[in-house]
Amino acid sequence: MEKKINHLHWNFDHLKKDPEKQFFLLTGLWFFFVTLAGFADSFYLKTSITPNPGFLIVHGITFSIWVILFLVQCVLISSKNIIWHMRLGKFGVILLFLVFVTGFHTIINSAHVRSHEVKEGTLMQILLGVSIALIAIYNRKKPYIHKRIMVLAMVFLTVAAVQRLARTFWNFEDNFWLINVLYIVPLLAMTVFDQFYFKKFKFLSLLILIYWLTDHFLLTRVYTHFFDSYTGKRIIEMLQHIFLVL
Amino acid sequence: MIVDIYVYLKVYIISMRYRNTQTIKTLSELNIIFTSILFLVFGVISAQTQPPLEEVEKLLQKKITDVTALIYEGETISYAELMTENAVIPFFGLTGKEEIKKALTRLDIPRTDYTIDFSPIVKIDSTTYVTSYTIKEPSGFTSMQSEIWKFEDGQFKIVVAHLIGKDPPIQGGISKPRFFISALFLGVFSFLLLLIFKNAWLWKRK
Repeated sequence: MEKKINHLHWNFDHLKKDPEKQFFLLTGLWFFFVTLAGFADSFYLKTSITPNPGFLIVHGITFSIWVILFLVQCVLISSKNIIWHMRLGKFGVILLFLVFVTGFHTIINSAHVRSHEVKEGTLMQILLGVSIALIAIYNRKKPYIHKRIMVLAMVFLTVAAVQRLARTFWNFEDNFWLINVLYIVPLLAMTVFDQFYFKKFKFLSLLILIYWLTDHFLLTRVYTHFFDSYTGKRIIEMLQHIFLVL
Repeated sequence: MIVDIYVYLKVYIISMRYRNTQTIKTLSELNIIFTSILFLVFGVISAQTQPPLEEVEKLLQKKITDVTALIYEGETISYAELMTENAVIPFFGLTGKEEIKKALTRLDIPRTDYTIDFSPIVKIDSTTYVTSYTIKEPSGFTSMQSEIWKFEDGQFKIVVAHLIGKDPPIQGGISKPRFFISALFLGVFSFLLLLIFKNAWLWKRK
């Protein structure tokens, strides 16, 4: 049983000893840098004459805090600050709610301002990201499941950053292979890591990888069909009524 | 041409009817005169209905000047509004107004002064014109652009837009500084990941 220390301390001995903590700290850094690089041109270091509208700034800040929180949580676990990890976790639940609201609001409002169709795929990514993060929080007492599901949630919630990163670095092209490799890297690395770390076949990380691939290449088409249907369109209309008022 | 064929046929029918070489000769001469008159008349009418080149040039240059101002104001999408539904920008591999719109919305143009130098307009046929111009920014950034305009449904629309050149030139993918940053980033991450994999492989649960 691990001893929980109430005050913040920075002892990284456990990080040196435990490759699992090293791995999840690296994933935290990965999501942080991908988000930073992806949104550098359009948000963090934006020099364009068209300032970002208020709702986009709120959305950007909320998502940035979420990505930073994930990294901080990984650092706290690496330094055995379990109590602080749990305290920040409660804040994470509130933040997740804000991530959901600002995410939906931005997608619906952007579509309204720019007179184009609501991007249902992006709505689903945020919905899935937030839901999966909540599942991870629900499983907080089972660290093995909690960590791995949280990585999947992060993949969903940083999809936009990966797309922008690829576009920024490859001019106008939507480089299919580059984008998909960047998406899959953390999940693939997690699957390989688990096999090395546990010295036996572990299903969860592989299952997570398969789920993501299924969602990305098959289920997205199902979502599109659903939102093209009568019910789907009514749902979009309902969401427009809710989020355009905000 | 159609009128010409019609007149020849008419001459043939009449000559067959009269079977008289003199009549054929006279009618042939008449035909030449008649055709010439027709060509002259059509030529004059056609010239009158087409706007003079100077006017077209003025109009298209105004459109380009206005849209460039909007682009530098951040309204990059307004360039797509000048295009036909099937317009293309081959340089960026963009086909169709919608695809172009999507690409343009992602474009961030920093606020700066600029000058536009127009080259003389080129007329391809009665409805097609080519414009080309150079935009220069005080920083030294220069871009040369060219568009093919088509007169359709009473207005000029771009069917093909092309970026002829850019200084500093566009590289066919990643820029050098970004390549080094990303190579460094991916290199460090790959190294750390391999190190962690090695640690995991050698790790023994106590």
